[in-house]
Amino acid sequence: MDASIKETIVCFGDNGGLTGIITRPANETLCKDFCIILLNPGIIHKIGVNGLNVKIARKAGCSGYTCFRFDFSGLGDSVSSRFVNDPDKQKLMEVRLAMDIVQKKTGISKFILKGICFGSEIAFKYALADNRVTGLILIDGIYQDRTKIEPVLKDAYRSQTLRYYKKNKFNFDRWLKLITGKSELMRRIKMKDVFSLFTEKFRTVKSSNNISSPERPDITDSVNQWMRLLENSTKILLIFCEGGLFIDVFNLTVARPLNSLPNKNQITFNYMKNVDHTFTPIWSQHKLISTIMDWLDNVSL
Amino acid sequence: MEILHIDNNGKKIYCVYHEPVNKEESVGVVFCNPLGQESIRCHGIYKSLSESFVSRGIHVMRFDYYGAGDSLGDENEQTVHGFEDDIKAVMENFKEGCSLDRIVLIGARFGDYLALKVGLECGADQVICWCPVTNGKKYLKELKYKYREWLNGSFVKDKKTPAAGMESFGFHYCVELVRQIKKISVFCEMTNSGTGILLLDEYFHPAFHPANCSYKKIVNRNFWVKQGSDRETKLIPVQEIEYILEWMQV
Repeated sequence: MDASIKETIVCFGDNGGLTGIITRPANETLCKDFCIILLNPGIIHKIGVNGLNVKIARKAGCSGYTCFRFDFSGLGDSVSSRFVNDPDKQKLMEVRLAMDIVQKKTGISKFILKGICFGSEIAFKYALADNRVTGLILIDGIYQDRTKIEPVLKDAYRSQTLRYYKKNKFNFDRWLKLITGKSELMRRIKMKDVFSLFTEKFRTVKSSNNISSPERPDITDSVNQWMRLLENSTKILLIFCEGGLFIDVFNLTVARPLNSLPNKNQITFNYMKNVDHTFTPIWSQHKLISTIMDWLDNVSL
Repeated sequence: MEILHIDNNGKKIYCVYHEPVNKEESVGVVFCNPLGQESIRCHGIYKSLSESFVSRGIHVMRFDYYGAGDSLGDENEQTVHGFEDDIKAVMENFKEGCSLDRIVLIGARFGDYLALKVGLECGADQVICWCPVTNGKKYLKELKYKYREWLNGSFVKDKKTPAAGMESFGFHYCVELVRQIKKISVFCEMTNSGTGILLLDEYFHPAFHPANCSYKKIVNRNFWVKQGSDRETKLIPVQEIEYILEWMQV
């Protein structure tokens, strides 16, 4: 793989304190005209969860794509910024700096932002403010103000828990874990919540996925943001994992309104079964990479 | 901080050099990473330790083995001999480049075995072993067991991967790497040398020579294991860091 790609370390930002790596095909004439920016997933440094950012960058590099993965200030090998008042705004500014440096070094002016978890939320927010972003690869994130999803969180947890136990209803080991109180989910939720999963009350809550209900969060802003992205012709690969809570929050909030948008076909939706939030098994990493590569090869940006 | 690639016989090694503010000390510390998921969990600790060293005038070099982290190469190219070779190349470059008199190697988990092996072979002045791996077979067994245990409480369906070797917590260990890890063991005579050794663990390992080894009991041995929930990822063991600095007398 190494012979077909080359990697260059780039220091940029305030006093060169941000660190990133550009991965490109060794033969630059093969380079396509856009760059994929791979964002930090939460607190993990730029290699990504399970080294996924490296694996994606190198696979994409072999296929002619330029990739840039970097550490936000204070993370990984980037130094902490001295002027942080609002960490979220700081991160958005650093995404812009990353795109600027790639543009300066390669001449590329079209970008795809790829993020997982917190990284995908930054990618989503940033894409609203910069027309250079023509594509998004969003994996397991919450694409709205987190303070507004409080009303659905309980239902989301229930939905996730129910999914887990349905999936493992015939698994003896997991029943044993549940009974002996060693289950992780059991630690997270109260026993009465487990029983309430099977009650009429829960089924009522689950079926009442009505956004106008008083318990539902106000998702108007979020839907407007999605609309703006689609109106800007941004192409989106939206991935959720079975093991995460994010699919449940999505289903309980913006899924229905998004489905009724006229240009919804710009969103490619992918639900990955049997996969945890960090793509731990190697087969799931291969599946994710091939999903991304297929999308990149078929989407017109 | 300076980020650079060191060329080790055509293999590009990603290195991070931390330059001390006050360069009076000619002591350099090289950090040896553990493998796989443990290396991710270690990154923050090594960075924190590096900052503490730098503030005390010590030069620091962190790096990723070829085929791991930000270095070039992929998991199928990893071997124990390759890792040892990388440490030697980094040490050599570091010692020459910064005109160092004293070299200290710090390793955690499998990185500890590598630090010890190379440190004793190349005459490092001090080696710090943090929750060391002293038996390759036991280590692999532990990795497999803990991964199985984690799988059993998750949404994940385990499937065989086409590549041979083994996998644990998101990382692939190729056949050759597994074969070489199985062969490793640390024994008492090995650690009885002129190199000062500090062992940090829950218990004193019989593989370490008591006459030549300082020991500090620690309590968070499970730090290296990926937890059921990913929330406990950024734990910096402050007490251990303080003890290391005290032991090194810096």
